[in-house]
Amino acid sequence: MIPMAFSISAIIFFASRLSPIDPLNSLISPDAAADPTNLAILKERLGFNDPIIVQYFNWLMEMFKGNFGYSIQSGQPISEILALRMPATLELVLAALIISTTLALLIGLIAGANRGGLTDKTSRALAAVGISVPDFFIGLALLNVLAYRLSWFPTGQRISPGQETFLDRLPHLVLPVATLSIAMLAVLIRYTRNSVLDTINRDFVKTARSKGLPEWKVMWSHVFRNSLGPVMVLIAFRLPLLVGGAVLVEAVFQWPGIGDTIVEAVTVSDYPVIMVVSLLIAVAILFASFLVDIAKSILDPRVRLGATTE
Amino acid sequence: MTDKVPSTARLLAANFVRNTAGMVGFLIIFLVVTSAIFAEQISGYDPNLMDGMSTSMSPSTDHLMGTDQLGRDMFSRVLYGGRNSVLIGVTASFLGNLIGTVLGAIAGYLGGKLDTIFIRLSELFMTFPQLVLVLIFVTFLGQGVSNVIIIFAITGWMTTFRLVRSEFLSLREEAFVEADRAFGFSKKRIIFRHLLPNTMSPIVVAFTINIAIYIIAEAGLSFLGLGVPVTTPTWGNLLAAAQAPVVVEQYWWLWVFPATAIIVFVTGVNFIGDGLRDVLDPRQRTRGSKSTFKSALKEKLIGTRERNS
Amino acid sequence: MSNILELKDVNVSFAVESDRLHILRDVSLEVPRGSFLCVVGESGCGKSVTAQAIVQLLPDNGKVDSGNIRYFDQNETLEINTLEKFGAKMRSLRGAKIGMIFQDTLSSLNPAHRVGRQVAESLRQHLDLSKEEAKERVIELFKKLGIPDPERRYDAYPHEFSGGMRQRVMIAIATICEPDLVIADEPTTALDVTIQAQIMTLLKDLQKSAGKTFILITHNMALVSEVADHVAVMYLGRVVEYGKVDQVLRNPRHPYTQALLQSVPSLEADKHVELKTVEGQTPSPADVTDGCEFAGRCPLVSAACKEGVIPLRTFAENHQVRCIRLDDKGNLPKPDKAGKNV
Repeated sequence: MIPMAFSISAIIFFASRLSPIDPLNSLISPDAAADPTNLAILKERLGFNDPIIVQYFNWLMEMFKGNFGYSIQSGQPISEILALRMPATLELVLAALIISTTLALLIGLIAGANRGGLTDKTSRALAAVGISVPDFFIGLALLNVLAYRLSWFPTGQRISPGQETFLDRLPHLVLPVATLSIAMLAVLIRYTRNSVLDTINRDFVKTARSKGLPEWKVMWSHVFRNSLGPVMVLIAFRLPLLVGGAVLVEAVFQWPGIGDTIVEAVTVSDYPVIMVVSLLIAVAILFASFLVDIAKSILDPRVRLGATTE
Repeated sequence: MTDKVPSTARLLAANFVRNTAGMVGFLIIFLVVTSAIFAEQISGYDPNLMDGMSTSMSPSTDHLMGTDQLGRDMFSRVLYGGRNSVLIGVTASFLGNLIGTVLGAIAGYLGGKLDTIFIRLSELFMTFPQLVLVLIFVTFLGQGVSNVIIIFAITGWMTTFRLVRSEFLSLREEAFVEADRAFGFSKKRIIFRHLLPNTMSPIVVAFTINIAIYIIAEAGLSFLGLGVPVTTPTWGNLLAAAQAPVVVEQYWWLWVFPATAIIVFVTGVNFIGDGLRDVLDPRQRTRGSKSTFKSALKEKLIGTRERNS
Repeated sequence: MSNILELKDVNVSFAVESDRLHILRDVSLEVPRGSFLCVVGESGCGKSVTAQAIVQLLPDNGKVDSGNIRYFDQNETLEINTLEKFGAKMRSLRGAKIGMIFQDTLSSLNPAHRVGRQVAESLRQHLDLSKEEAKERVIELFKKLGIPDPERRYDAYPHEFSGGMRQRVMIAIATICEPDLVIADEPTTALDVTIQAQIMTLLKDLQKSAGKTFILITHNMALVSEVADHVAVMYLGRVVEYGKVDQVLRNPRHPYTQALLQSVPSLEADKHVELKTVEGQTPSPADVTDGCEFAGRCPLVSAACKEGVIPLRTFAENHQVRCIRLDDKGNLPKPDKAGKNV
């Protein structure tokens, strides 16, 4: 994983050198850059006159120290922007992840266990539709009906004037989270269901039944337990969304999160911001795959103990 | 050894016709594509013609889908938008498939370090949230129709890559490749003439499914205003109108129709994809999908049994 | 001696695509209490399906089309095929009255659960025991079955065992509740010969000492001679020969049984004698037509063999054979020169 991290950061560094903005340049705050002598000193320290490799490592070091550079557009330190916007995205994505995962696991299990039953058929039909509908359309539809027409929910943004606590803000959260959850459900349900179906035909389920165990116990203790694997993988790889933000949902609801930041940055070609966000997402991905490995070893004792048949 | 003999094609086509989902999809696509091609004839309005007198009108007999704020007829814009969206989707899918196939063939057949690099790369690209990846490339390459197509291809080759690669990995070990090598056929010849035809079916299925993915991706991208510029109407940038709250609230026809068009088309493409997958490669069938592909499957069953016993 | 299990004209079919494949045809068996029955045949003859049908654990696309499966408990007779598959009555049979030992132990054991738990699970399902009590009994059984270091092994995972040890775990699962009937589906096929012998001895001991009834499913004729009291030979879903082990092995009357026995390599046989194989290939269940299923490969086939249903004929001491070529004394004609048909 570590070599991967290095190679990705290297790719990002070198790729951004292709952009009009030198990555090292962006590490200097606009205020500091205003003074020419200061600028020269800083540039020297950052290694502007040094070979490229040194520049790369200096850049990396700065990142580790927390200096993510400065936005071209606003001059703000990117770390500040992130700190400001992260919570919004985290709120949204975390809530949606938890809700959609729980629902998907439940529905997927029931659908797989009662193959051909009502739950199975309806969930499959909905899932089939679900992949055809762009997620932001769901958001727009919800907005139109529930927010504008019925005024049940606010029409966007994270907070209304005068709201203080989380509970106050809650109505704002509902529609975006619902939209994102629905969008994630389709795929998750299909995955869970397939995983359950795969497991249900395995031999040890027959053994479990041959013991005279009640079906619910067979399903829960044997089938479900062993179907979790692939689903965990899928969920783990959703984690980068916590960083990357649900761009479209944030756009539809004017949610002030990272996704919104990205869109803004792309619109004005704010390279430093793009770079930092991509780096963060890449790190999140690596972390996610690390989590997957851990989860695998927890779920499957064969992995944990190193399966060797004597 | 290969089952891509002409008569099999006819058999497959016959079975596809019997596949209800596939046929429904085919019908949908047929309708959408024809209306896109014959947009001029059908609509009667110039999509870019602004009629200051009839701005923001809701659907009527005159304007089946209403007009937008600049007085342009929405029906013709949707039709023309369809033409552009579908073109973008198909071209991007084709290009992406090409890249994926070539890389997959190389990686699958040659293996080794090259393979590891490609696989890692594909993993990274796949786990990156698609839209963000696209946006990153947009920053560097800029907007525009051709750029969008290229960017989609660059960010979407991975599924085809994996399919082709895994096919090549397994086929590589098959007997007939040994025979080819014994005959001294060049690597290139083995790859293109002998291995590739066997991987056609998953590639075709991936091609159709990718079209759906790209259409949705284009919709999202243009909705954000970062995709195809408004001068070329696509379903996506028609949807961009919905960025304004007042549109979402009052002028529903400006975004509901393009969105519905997308949904209908994508559903159709997905159905065709499923139908194709059922017909071409029953191994990959999603459990429970009702396919009427009975006789050809039995043939395959009995055929393989003969081979195995 | 009374029977513990009776199968009468059982027909089982499987749904494959839009067809139904008939896997078991009019299978009838009588299993006396306390006896050891071996069901033998080639792969695909339906012996495993018979076992599954008895405990109603056929796969989803399988169905008992007709016939009766009767289990004679101490106090009552149960018609298994009429019971609900996952109903309380059927489940009270599984594990407690009828135990099953499966063939592929690596896939038949839950890889994520410790073995002790998997055995105790069966015990606690049928008996009201605490975790500790159950664990004690399991460890005791492990000892009896020859699993070394049973206290530690209780907490091990299936993949940590060798094949032979895993099979003992399977046997533990099947017998922990002391069922009267144990069905073992090819329990030693994947094991090497010495382990095979050990497991077979174990099973035979269980039968003798605990008075249990055993049904062993196997394609290995050598095993049959070691442990069986009775033998049922199956071919393409039908029982073609049945009798006491001496009868069937020493005096096989069905041409198929004869061919099977001839094809078993023997240590005593002349090295230069060609190993006999059964001519031709087993047809698929889908291609079965009228008449004797073995007609296509039988060296003694006649025109009459290809028509109608071949009845099961009974000879001395309840030796049953499904062949019309036998005379009344139960002897087959000599094969003629041109006796080999396609």
